[in-house]
Amino acid sequence: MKRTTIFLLLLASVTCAAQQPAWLDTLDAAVKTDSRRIEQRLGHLQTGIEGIRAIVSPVGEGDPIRWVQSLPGVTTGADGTTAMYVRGGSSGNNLFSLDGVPVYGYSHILGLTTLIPTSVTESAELSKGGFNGDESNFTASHLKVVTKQPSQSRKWSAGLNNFLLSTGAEGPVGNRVSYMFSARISPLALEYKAVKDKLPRMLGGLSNFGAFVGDVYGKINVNISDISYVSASALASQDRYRFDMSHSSHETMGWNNVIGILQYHRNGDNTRLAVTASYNRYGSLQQQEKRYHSVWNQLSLSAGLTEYSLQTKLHHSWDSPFALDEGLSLRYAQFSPGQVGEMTKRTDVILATPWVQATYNIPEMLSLKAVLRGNYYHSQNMAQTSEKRGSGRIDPEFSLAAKWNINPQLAFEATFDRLVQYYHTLEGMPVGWSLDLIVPTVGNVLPEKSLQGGAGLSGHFGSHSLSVGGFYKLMNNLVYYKYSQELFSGGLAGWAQHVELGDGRSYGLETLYEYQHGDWYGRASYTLSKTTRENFPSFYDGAPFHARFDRRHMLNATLQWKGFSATMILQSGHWENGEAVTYNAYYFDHSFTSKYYSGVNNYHMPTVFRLDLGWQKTFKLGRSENTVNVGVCNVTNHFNPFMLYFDAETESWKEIALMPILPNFSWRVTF
Amino acid sequence: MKKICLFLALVTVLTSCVRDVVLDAMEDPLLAVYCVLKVDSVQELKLSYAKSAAMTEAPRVTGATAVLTDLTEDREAGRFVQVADSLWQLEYSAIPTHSYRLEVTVPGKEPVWAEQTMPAEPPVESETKLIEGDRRSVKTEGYGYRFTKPCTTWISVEGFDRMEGYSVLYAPVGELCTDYPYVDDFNLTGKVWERDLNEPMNPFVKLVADRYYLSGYPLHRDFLRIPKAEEQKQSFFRIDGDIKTSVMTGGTGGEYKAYSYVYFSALSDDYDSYLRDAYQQYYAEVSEDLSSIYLRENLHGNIHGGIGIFGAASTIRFYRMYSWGLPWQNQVLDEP
Repeated sequence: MKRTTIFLLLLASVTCAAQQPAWLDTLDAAVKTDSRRIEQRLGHLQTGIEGIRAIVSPVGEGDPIRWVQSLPGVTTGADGTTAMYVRGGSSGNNLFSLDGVPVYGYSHILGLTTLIPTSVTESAELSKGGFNGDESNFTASHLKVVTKQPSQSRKWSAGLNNFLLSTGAEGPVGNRVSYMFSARISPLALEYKAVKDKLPRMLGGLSNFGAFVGDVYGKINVNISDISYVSASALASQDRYRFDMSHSSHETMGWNNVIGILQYHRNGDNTRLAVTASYNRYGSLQQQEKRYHSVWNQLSLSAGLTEYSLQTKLHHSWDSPFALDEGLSLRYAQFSPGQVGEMTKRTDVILATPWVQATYNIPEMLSLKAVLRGNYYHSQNMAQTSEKRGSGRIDPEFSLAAKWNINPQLAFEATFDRLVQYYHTLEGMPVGWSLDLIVPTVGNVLPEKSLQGGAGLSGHFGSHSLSVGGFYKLMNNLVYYKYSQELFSGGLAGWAQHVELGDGRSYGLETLYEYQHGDWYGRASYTLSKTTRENFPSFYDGAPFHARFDRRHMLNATLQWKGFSATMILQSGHWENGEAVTYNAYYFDHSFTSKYYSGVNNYHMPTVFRLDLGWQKTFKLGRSENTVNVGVCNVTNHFNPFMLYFDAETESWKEIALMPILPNFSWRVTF
Repeated sequence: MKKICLFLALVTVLTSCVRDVVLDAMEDPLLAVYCVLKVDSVQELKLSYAKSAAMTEAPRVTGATAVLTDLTEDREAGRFVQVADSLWQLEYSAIPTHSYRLEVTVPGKEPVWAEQTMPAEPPVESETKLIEGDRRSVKTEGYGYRFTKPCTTWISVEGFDRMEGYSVLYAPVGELCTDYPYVDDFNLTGKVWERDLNEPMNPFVKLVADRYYLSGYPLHRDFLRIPKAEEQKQSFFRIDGDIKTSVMTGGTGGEYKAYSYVYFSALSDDYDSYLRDAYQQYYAEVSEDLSSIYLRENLHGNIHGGIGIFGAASTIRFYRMYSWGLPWQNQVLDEP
């Protein structure tokens, strides 16, 4: 553990010594004094950039996912990483969007943060129920990240932290055009080289480490008139790593995103129009080369998804409590999951979703919302050149939401949703394989569906606010990939035959408490829930079993005072596949040791506990404004086991803690 | 996102925050049962406890009682007697087409049980058939087999192994091939059969051997599995493979003859499924393929309250003589 601390401190000092400020911060001073309190409305929780940045994280400051992970109803995946599970759904049941466009590979820098720079982020909003009409193709939650509009004054900024160097700029070009730019790159490979030469023993068995990690974001705004503008933005990210775990293990893995967005907005007195066209490409690759039983084995998986979309949204309001929204979303996507060598099975899909949303709002008294969506989905297997078979289907969705202000302090809120999702993230990937394989609905792999309801009370009492609610959720057609071993033999080309469909059920109690007074801000969220999977024929004869991240208790608490902050996480352990029992079996007259797996997710990992401390200081130095964050994650150095990997050298499973005590540092300067 | 695994891998090495883990689900030890009814005069039952990951060794099975009941005749067929540490025996010949129930009781545990029906003997007969070769108009009689009705059948061969004194010892033939078109391909070795034709042969044999041997046919490991299908009745088929033929029986004229046994087994459905799985696991255990560590499939089983298999198999065998080492001239003989 000491080696950890030394190494990470060294990383920090290396970046400090570099003296290459690179962080974009375009926050106005006024924004920085905004409330960090979460805004709640009809199943939606929203925060500004201040609430996001206040979260302590390994990279020095928070990001939208870190903020979401501190909310009720949200279960984290591995400790310290960006996985999230909302109200019993799978990780792939969440939609992460950037300005309304899905981001399929949002993880960045070894899973420590997301690929959306906070410097271009305006706000984040998590929806768990009562969804809007333009939110579709998911069954659990929607994390909506909205970028800000470029500033009308010129700014340049830079920053650094343990893992990233960044720079950015924004400003006007003439009267009508403004721009915003951000670029980040990780110096991990350079840090490795520095450490390798000076303290080679500190790296244990790691050798030949190489990484290319970075992202670029740019946005141009053109004001056409006082009520309309066009914006074009693009985001490209790359995560690519290679390293040798030992002389008998070589690893390569990576993923990348390219997203282009073109938007037109027109804001009239009683009508608003938004049109968005986007291009989205996500690719991933993981390779292992390991010596096993004295023989070199090469395992490889890669996947790709390319999506083109067009979305329109029209809002009408009248001089009455009534408002109407309608829109249409069109998508064309190409999936290539699990390419092994030249063996590829491409499937093309079309998804058209018209929707209509009606709202009735009497301020401070009553809000009602009703949404109806229709989905037309068509998939076609492009691998069959002689006979390209396709299939189409229609699935309706709806959402209902109501909020009744019982009195000025107390409100009752309820939501009810039926949701459909056509893109699946395969569960059942082999332990130790990090890739999420996204596959489309095709043939007998039906779309996932969920039916959920939630209700609760929320109250504001001076500096205190409290919400208490419950939810109940049923999930259908959850996908599980049964034959992990065949992933590496070309078997995934026929993945649809190996997918098993089942159901899920989740229910629980969610509470959120906030306190804000003067320089003090505190927040505590607690979730008591139970999540099961059932009706998978291969497991327990269809009987219920634990969902992998079925954490019974989740407590997240944050306390902030001036620049200091402390965050505590206490969560029940998640569930892993228990090791098999072994017994004597016979193949004709040959006796051999066979393994018997009594089921899946039958081993309960230990409780997770983490205490993070941070301190932030903002000061002016000449014309520049500087912000320094210093913190320590996992102050108590609690061993939070997360996952297992197979050590081919010792031929045993090992348990890994993601975050030992981990100091972090970041510095931002804005001119 | 599960990209954390990557993070795991890296941070693990960077920080050495790794420790060994034994993922023992802490479930009660399961009783493992293995019993395959046969027409032999003695039935065998193997009992053991499964060993969890945290155990150094599995507990021993003590005080178990096992009863076999003939459900067709509604009477007890007998009680197994422990003859070794994990072996129980019952002097009894299972009757084809009869149904049986096996119930094992260990003191302090719920009984485990299974039921099974003994299959009828495999409907196969040997046959001689005129085979016409297109090479120099060679014609000869060929020898093979034919099913008289559909039946899932496992075929194995025991060939000459060695002599011990005057005794001929036989051993299972590791690789077999057949010209039967509907054989199950799940145990293909990836190789094709090529008979070494340089062995001593008379000119006639050399002339036609490459035509009549099953050279070029894919080899199956250990056995040939013939799935039940209507087409079975239509096919005359031969069996070839690495069947050793070099044993001098002291025949006249220094003639070389070799004998082998060809076994045809009709398996109960449960045992058929079990054996198919067992084949995969048996060879995966000794595999050098890293992906085998991700195999999480259980062997097919039918033991209620435990694990393992209660199966049934009816086997017939043909005593086959190779003359000149040519498969089409083999004869089925009366066993000595």
